Amino acid sequence: MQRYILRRLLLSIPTIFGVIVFVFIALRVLPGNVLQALTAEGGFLSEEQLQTLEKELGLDKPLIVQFGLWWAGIFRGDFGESLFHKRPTLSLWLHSVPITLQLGIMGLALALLIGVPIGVLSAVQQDKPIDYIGRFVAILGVSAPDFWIGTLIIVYSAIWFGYMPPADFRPFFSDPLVNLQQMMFPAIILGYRLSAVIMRMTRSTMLEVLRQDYMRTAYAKGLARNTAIYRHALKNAMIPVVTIVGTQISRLMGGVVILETLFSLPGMGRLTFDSIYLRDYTQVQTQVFFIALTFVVMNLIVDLSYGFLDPRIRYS
Amino acid sequence: MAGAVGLGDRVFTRPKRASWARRQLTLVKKKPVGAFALFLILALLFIAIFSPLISPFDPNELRPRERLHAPSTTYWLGTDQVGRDVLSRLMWGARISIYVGILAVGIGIGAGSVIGLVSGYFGGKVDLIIQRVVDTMMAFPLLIFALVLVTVLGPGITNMMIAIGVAVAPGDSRVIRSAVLAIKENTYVEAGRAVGITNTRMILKYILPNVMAPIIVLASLLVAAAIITEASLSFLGLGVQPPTPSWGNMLSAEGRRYMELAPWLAIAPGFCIMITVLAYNLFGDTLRDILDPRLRGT
Repeated sequence: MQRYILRRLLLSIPTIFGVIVFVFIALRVLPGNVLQALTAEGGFLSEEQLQTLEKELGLDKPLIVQFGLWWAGIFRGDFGESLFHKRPTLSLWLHSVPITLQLGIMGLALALLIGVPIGVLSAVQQDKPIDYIGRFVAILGVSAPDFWIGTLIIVYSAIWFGYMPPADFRPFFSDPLVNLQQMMFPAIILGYRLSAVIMRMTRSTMLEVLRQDYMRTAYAKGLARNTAIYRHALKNAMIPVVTIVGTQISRLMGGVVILETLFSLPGMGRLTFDSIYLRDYTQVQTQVFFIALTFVVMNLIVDLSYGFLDPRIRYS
Repeated sequence: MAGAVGLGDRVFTRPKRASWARRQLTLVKKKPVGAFALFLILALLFIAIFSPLISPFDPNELRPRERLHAPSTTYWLGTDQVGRDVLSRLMWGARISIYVGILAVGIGIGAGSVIGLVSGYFGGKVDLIIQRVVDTMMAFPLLIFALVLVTVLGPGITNMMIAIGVAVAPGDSRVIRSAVLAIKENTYVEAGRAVGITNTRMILKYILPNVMAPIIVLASLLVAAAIITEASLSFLGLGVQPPTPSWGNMLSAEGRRYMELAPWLAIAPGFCIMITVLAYNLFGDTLRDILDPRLRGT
């Protein structure tokens, strides 16, 4: 097991390395480099100012040297300084993490609370009205864009109830009530979207499991319907659901960019978007590095959870 | 006797093929949801193609006196903050959404299929290297990947199409690769190799036609993802640039300031995105059921 984890971690190094190479090259080699972008933002700069800027950003060195320096920095835990904020990118990133983490946990909890029971109900009551309603609500959730649901909530809660979420962000531990007011709507939207995916997956795997021989045996030996469904069927139906939750968590970052921008939450998504928008390339590099790291770690956690759900799975 | 085969004194006639209309009716009866989705897609295509002829107003014509006009018989869906007709803008916006959706997926499916076919067919080291690159690209969420590419390339419709296309290609290549791996094991592939067919001919003539089903299914589902990504990028201000109407940029920050005064501005564009994405999702699901049930749940 430990060897398996170690091997997986080692295998993920090329992925992370590849991500860094990709971001590094995309930001430097493709048309529209940092300097052009910065001067476009800041108006005209003299030749001298341009050269100073180039030197300051280390862009006068050969590409391979720049790359080597950045890598060396990472190993020392130094991810460089943000071009825009003039602060270490790592500390900016660390500041944004708890907000996104809270949003993610609230959204995921909501998604599981809604998605799994409705998915089970939909499968057990296949082709009955409740199944149709569940499937309809789920496919709407997959199709409606986050920013639209968010916009509708903001606009209509202001019109109908005169309600606006507090503008200044407060961390949960300093002012939980205000924090929850700010987090509530984005978490609901995130949860709804995710629950739709979970519901569809739970339904389709439950339908398969319910037709297995061991389910017939469970009924035949006189188990109560609910015990059979929740103790035997659900646990076996959970593997694909866990996979999809895992892949969705890393994909959630996309949704988080939109929701945090829309609801003015200073989390990871907002920071990523702002730094892309402000052409703050060192910050973008750091953000993308950690997004890729999250993806790799999530995949590992998903694979490890299989063994917990299905003891027949052994790692080698 | 045409269409009949004699075998002793028994005559087998080929059953008469049902008429076109009857076959459509069977489809509607068997897959009502899919048929409805197809109808929606065709209707949207019609609106997109003929928007210059059927839109009641010029989508970019400013009418300051008519600004923030509530829906009425003249302006069915009202007007925006500078007096442009919302319905006309939505009709023109359909062009962008569908154009970007289909072309981006074309790029993505094209690139993804080539990568998937080569990786799956040749296997070994080629596969190993390609798959590590694909892993890398898949470590980005679709929107972030597209966001980075669009920022680097600069905003605009063509760049956005390329960005979305490149962003969907890796995931697409995975599905094609796994289909190729299954097909490769068939005896006819072995037979082809035995008679010395070249690799290119093998891939194009024998492998590709057999992986068309997953490619078609995937394409229809990816159009939905591409349309949402286009709308999201335009919403964030990095996609279609104003004044060109797009469903995403109609909901962006500029319009949002007026939505409390004119809530109709918030409803219609999002509704259009949802219906279009819904139609492609439902149509993709139906195609998958018909063409390739193995893909269920992907």
